[in-house]
Order: sequence, then C-alpha cells, then structure tokens
Amino acid sequence: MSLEVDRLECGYDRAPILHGVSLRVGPGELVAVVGSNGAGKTTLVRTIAGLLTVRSGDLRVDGSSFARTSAARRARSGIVMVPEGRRLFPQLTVGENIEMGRRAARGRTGGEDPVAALLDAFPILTERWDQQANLLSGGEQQMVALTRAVAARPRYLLLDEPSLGLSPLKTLEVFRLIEMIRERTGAGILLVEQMADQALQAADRAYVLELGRVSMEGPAAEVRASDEVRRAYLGVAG
Amino acid sequence: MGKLRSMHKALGVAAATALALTGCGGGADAGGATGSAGEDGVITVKLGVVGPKTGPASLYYEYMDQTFETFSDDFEEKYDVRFEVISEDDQASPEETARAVSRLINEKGVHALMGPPLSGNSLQVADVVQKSQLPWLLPGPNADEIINYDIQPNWAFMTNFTNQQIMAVLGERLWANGQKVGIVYSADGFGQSNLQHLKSWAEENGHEVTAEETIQPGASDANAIIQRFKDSGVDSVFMGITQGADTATVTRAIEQAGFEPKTIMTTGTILTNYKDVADPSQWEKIQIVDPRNFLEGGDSEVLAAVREATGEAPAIPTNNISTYAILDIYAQAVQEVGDATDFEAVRQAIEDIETVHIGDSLTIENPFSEDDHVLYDDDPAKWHTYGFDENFELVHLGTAAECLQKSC
Amino acid sequence: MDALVLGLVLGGLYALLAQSFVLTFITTKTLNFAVGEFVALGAFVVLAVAGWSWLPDVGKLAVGVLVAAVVGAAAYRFLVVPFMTEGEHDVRWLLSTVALSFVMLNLITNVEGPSPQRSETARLSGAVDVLGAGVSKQQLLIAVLAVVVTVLLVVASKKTSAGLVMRAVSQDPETTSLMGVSPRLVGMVTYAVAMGIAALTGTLYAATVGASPVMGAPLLVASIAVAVVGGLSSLWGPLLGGALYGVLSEVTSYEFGAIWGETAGLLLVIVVLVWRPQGLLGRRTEVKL
Ligand SMILES: Nc1ncnc2c1ncn2[C@@H]1O[C@H](COP(=O)(O)OP(=O)(O)O)[C@@H](O)[C@H]1O
Ligand SMILES: [Mg+2]
Repeated sequence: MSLEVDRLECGYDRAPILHGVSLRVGPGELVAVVGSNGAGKTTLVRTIAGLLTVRSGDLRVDGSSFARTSAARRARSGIVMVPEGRRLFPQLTVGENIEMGRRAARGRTGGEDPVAALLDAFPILTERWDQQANLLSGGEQQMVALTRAVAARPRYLLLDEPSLGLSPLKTLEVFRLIEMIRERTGAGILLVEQMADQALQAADRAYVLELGRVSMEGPAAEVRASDEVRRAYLGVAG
Repeated sequence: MGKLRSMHKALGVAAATALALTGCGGGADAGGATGSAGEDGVITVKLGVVGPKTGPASLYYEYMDQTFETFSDDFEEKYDVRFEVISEDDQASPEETARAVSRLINEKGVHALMGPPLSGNSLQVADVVQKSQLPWLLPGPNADEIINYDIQPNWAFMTNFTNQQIMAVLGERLWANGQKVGIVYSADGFGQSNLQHLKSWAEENGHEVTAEETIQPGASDANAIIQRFKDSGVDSVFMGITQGADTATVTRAIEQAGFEPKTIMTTGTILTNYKDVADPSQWEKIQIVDPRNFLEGGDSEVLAAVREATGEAPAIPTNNISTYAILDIYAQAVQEVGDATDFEAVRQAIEDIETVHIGDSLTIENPFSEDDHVLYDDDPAKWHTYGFDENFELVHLGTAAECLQKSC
Repeated sequence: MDALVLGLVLGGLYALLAQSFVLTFITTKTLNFAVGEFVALGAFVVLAVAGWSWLPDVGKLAVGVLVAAVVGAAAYRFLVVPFMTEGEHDVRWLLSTVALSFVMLNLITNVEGPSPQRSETARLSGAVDVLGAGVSKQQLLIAVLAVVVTVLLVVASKKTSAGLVMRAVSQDPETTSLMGVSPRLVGMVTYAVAMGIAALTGTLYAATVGASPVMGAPLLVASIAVAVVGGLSSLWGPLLGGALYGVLSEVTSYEFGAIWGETAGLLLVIVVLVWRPQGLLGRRTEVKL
C-alpha cells in the first residue's frame, strides 16, 4: 500500500529532465523531496499528477499502474496535487474554489467532511468565504489551496513548494496546516521544497533531487544531518 | 508513336478534304454531318452547344437540352434539317467557356455555335466567335454589349430580349403618371447592370431616380431600404435582384412597414427561389414584363410541348422559348442555303429571315437587319405584363402598353 | 424610433448566434468557424422531421438542436482538440474549423441542393406593432429568445455546478483537470450547447428566409462582430454587442442607405478593438488569435 515512482524518466520536448527517479510514499507518511532550483522537483510532481507524460518508468498506486491515465482521473482516484504558485481560480470565490476541489471527491463520499475540521481550525477561511480568490494575501491563498486539495479527499497529496513566497511566520502556519491534514485525512504526502530545513523537520523520510537524479535518500533526520545537505540546502558553512 | 499518330491524323484530314473537294462527301464524319443534303434529302448540321451541363447553374444548360429533345424531330420534318449536337460543359466558369468554345470551333469543326447562355461568359468569347465567322446562336444572354455592330458582317443573333429593351419597357411603366421611382438592386453584376440600364433610360427620357438602394445577397432584413423609400415619397418600386430569396426579403420588409407603393415591378429572376420563402400577401402587387406570352399562343405551346415531351417543367421558360426561336431561324436559313458549311450564306439568310415561327401559332416578321440582330424590340404594345395569383401562377394582365394606360 | 426598435430586434438575431462563439471561447478559447453551417444543419434537420406530425414544433426544434449538438461535440473532439495541442499559440484549429465549414457546406449542398426551401416549423407569420414600428413576429421571437437564452446561461453559470465548472475551466483548464474534471469533456459539452444554439437560431431564421446551405454565411460576420464588440469572454456581451451593432447599423442604414449600415457596424468593431480589445464587457485575457 503506497504510491510508487519507479525509474521515472520525463521532460519537455527534447530535453530529458528526470533520469530514472524512484521513490515511495506510504499511507499517512510525510515524505520530503528537497533540491535546488531547477533540479526537477516541479517536473516530478506534475508528472505524478498527470500534467506531463511519462516517457519511461512507471507510476503505481497500491501496485497498479496509473502512468497512462488522465490528470482528471488521477485526481478522482485520490492523487491530488497543490501546484506551485497555488493556482487558485482567480475570479472564483474562496467557497467556489473549495467547491471545485469537491468535484474530485464525487463518488468517494462518506465519513466526516474533511473540510469542516479545517474551517474550524482556521476561521479566516470562513470569513473570506465569499471573497474573490485573487484578492487574498499569499498566505491565505495557500491555505485555500490546501483546503481545496483536502476537499478532494486525497489519498496521496502532492505539495509543490507550499512555502514559496511566504513570510517565515506564514510558512509556520502553512506547515501547521499540513501537519493537521496528515492527521485528519491519513493521506500520504509528498512535500517538495527548496526551503529544505522546515520540510526535513516535518517529514518522516526524505529524498534529495539533484539534476534529475535522486542523490540521497533516508529518514528525514538523517538526511538533514548529512554534510552535503547542510552545505547545499541549509546554508550551513563548511 | 506520337509522330505516327499525328501522321495518321494528317492523312485523315487530307483524305477528308479531298473527298469534300471532289464532292463525294458523306462518310467522312462519324455522324454523317456534312452540312449538305444526304441521300434522304435531310441536311445534318453539326451544332456546337456550350453551357453549364454540371454545377449549380445547370438549369442554364438544361433548357437547351429540353428544347432539342422536344423539337428536333419537328424541325427535321418541317425544314429537312437535322441537328447533330456536339456539346461542351463550361461549368459556368469563364475559363472553361473559353476552352470549350475554342474546342468546338477548332477541333470539332462545328457549323454553328449555340451558347454560352450566361451573359458574362458570352461577352468574354464574343471576339473569338466573331473571328471564327460561324453563325452564333444566342437564345440565353441579355447583355446588349455582346453584339458589337461595328463588326460587319456580324455573326451573332439573339432571341432573348436585351437589358436595354426591358428597361425601356419597365421605365415607361415605372415613371408613368409622374410616379417617383425607387430602385433596389442586388450588389452584384446583375443588379448593377439593371441599375445602369434603367438609369440611362431615365436620363435619356428626362426622368430621375428618387432613391436607389443596394441589398447584399443574404441580407437579413431590408427594413431600412423600405423606410428610405417611404420617407422619400417613392410610389413606384423596381427590384433588380438576382436571388428570389433576396427579393423575398424586400417584399417582406414592404409588408412589414405597411408600405403601399402604386407599382412594384421586377424581373424574371423572381420566378426562381422566391415563392418558397414568401407569402401570397407579399407578392400580390408584384408585376413583371416579358415579350413572350406564357399563357396563350405560340409561346405557351412551346412550353406545353416541352412539358409533355420531357415530363419536366421547362427549366427556364423564357429561354426554352428563345431556344425554339433561334433553332427555327437557323433551320430555315440552312434549308434556304442548302449547305450549312457555307457560313456566310447562312448568316445572310438569317439576317434576311422573313418569318420566325414560335410554336404553331406565333410568327414574328422581319426581326433582323444589318444592325439589329435581336429578335424582340422595346415596343410596349408587343410586351406582356404579368402578375401572380395566390399560388404564384402567372396571371396575364394585358400588354405593357395596356397596363401603361390603365396601370393594371 | 423605428430604426431603434428594428435595430434592437435585428441585434437579437445576431446576439443569439453570437452566444455560440462566446460559449466556446469562454471554455476552450477557440471559435468554431463552421458555425454558419451548423445554422444550416439545424434548419435542414428540422425540415427533415417537419413531416412527423405527431411531434409538436418544440420537439422538432429539439431534434435539430440535438443533432447539431452531437455533431458539434464530435467536431470539438476530432477537429479542434487535436489542433490545439502545442500550447497557447497553436491555432491550427482555426484552419480545421474553416475546413469543416467547407466540407459541411458541400455536403449539405449535395444533399439538399442550393435553393432555399420553405420551413414552416416554429413559424409565426405577420407583424406586430412595437412602439410604432412594424416588427415581424418571427424576428421578435428570435430577439426574445436571445434574451431568454442569455439569462438562462448567466443564471446557470452563476447558480449551477456545471456553471461553476465552466467558469473554472475558462480561468485555468489545467488546474481544473487537477479537480478531477476533464477540460476536454467540458469543451465537448460546451461545443454541444453552442452548436445547439446555432441550430436553434438556424431553424427560427429559416422560417423567415428559408433553409439553404449558405443561409448562415451572412449571419456569421455580423454575429462575430457582435461577439467581439460585447466581449468574447462575457455571456452578457452578445446582448450589449447585438443592441449596439443592430441599432447603429439600422440607424445608419436609415440615414445614409443600406450599404453604410454594415460598414458602420464593422467600424464599431474596429473602434472597440482599438479602445477595448477585450470587448465592452470582456475580461482582459490573453486572446489566442
Ligand atoms: N515548460 C518547460 N519547458 C522546458 N523546460 C522546462 C519547462 N519547465 C521547466 N523546465 C526545465 O526543467 C528543469 C527542471 O525544472 P523544474 O522541474 O521546474 O525544477 P524545480 O521545480 O526543481 O525548480 C529546469 O532546467 C527547467 O529549465
Ligand atoms: Mg519548482
């Protein structure tokens, strides 16, 4: 029972970007992928979500391949992505954005409404419910994007740089929300971050992506403690 | 191989020429169309016919075809002249017309040429045909410009009315009793030509056009046009419109605006595509003029015979009649000369023809002269005025002259 | 006053058809240049079933609308989708829909012949007096329908979940696919609705001018103009554009003659394009044309 990426190769037009990336996210697990700008993190996440096509290698969930299905179908099966830059529907209200998230959960209802708990914990969402999404601050937008993803009842959640462009304070809040989502939904989370420190603190396991290849993997604490990572990603000298 | 074939051809032509020269013709052509009398005393004429056999304008070929089918036996019986028709499809396109005409003249060696039926195409080949010095039979087109009488002897003969003639007859009627005339014409060659001829007739006769408006093909309404007519006091309307559907748009607007002009005249184009998209109340007051009497006499006999022989409606009734007329004229001329290949003699015989027969009971005397190669003239006493009943059948209202007096 | 009323009514006809362009543009950022032939298709399908006397006129209209809708959805799937794969600047769909227009025109002409045929379905004859102007009942019906269809579309887009999806796709199709909704399916549905509207326009218009293969062509230019003036991305756009275009061209025709009417309408388009490229009610989006 897990989301598996198996020797994945993909890219744009001619240029190959990922050269045989393999990784695994278990249910309820929080896995971080760290890497510098241009390493291929976004490419990886977009390929898993179905926005880019797989050239070779495979994508599986619970053992069965989904490498050839459409993005919409993947979303409906519970593989949900929060894209880089949040990508809210700018002219829809907060409520409508979240309503759109629910579309992916159609046919997978039952149990408590996962959104309700988030709304309780973050009353700002309810306050802003009827406001147009592009009028929100960056932090608020990221909260809405995450809530929209939760509305889709994810089994696996792919987060592409959720802290991008946020102040440290807001970043903390976003990580608090991610933590809560993990508890509430039991989804496996693949968290991609350039700001490695926070991600590695939160994660169970981690992969380091360098120029389209996995250069290191292991328990998040170990990866965080390694010299290369400290030098390259955590800004610690020597 | 190619050389061999062309040699064969050359030999064939030489042999044919020799036979013709020695006067023992007969077998040279496949159909035996030598242009002079055969053993049975019948002269077989090789007649080239050009027209749109295929394509959207095919009605303009069909009327010629129907007329041949119906009457060739009659002509043979009457004048001992048999037509061997060699036809070419011009698809109504100018390029194809030029090609077809030159093929008929140069390769097929026809004795006379009939068509093309569309004015524009005829205009385009006029010089070529005049130079070929073959009798040119024109039952279809209406453009005066096709015949340039500076060329003498002139080879072209028309048995339809010309634009100038119909505009003269219409002009008399439109401006009768000092009426104010509005013209609505379609924005194409036909409409422009109507406008031009009517305006120049008006100018020559000291009238002026009160309002003139174009209608685009397929226009969705003509309300503004009619409103402008109304506002400028127009009480006599002429519609020079190519498509019956556009004519319907105009008459719909007339009805809708409650506009009630004293006179509404149009052309024969209303006979196609109008009825299906208009209502009887809209065509109640519309009239057309034509030199032919479609309802009685020789003209109507021709139409009835076509209907009976082909089992179809005459493709373009006016032109079925004019095809009959030109064939009658040409057959008589060939009979008189006795040799269809003596082109100049045949031409002269046509020009001098005394009596043209249309059907059994209509005759037209001495229609042509050196500078008049058109069957009809513009004397209102010889033209007919028609209206329409509720089934859009023609109703004869009187001659154009009569309608001028009592304004029908 | 007459010109005003008649212009508004005429604008209604263009507005109804313009809605076809606006709908496909909103969700797919494409325009179907074969709309004119869908107008004819609808009219001829209705003509074909006109003899089914057990079916009321509304049912016959529905048959025409449905057939055009199915053909429209297929046209999107097979002639638009494959020709917009290379991103924003891939406008090969423009050529493929123009090609479709030629093919449909030839097919319809071969089957039905070029001449207009009378259509009695949903036909109101006669005229009514509207503020002193004689307006044909049929044209009035079309104009009223333009308003009704527009209001329905606006309400649907605001109040229904299909409308929400439509708005979402128009803003960001890729993200919509992340919400489990296939933008391609939304595109097909939109094309179906849009071509259904074209067929409806065609049937009602054919009752006046007759059904003919080329009947849509003269409407096409005016309705694209109306859509552009109102704004291709606004559902209210066609009504505003139609009113302005209709009144301006009718008033100009009254004052200066019919040839100036259409010219004035097209000048309006140019002025709007210069001053507000996105149309009067349109949102500023990157237009792919
Ligand atoms: N749309 C694209 N077309 C071509 N190359 C791209 C595109 N997007 C990203 N790339 C290239 O792919 C590589 C990986 O980019 P990306 O996956 O966005 O990296 P990251 O998210 O880790 O910063 C970079 O070299 C980038 O230039
Ligand atoms: Mg990235």
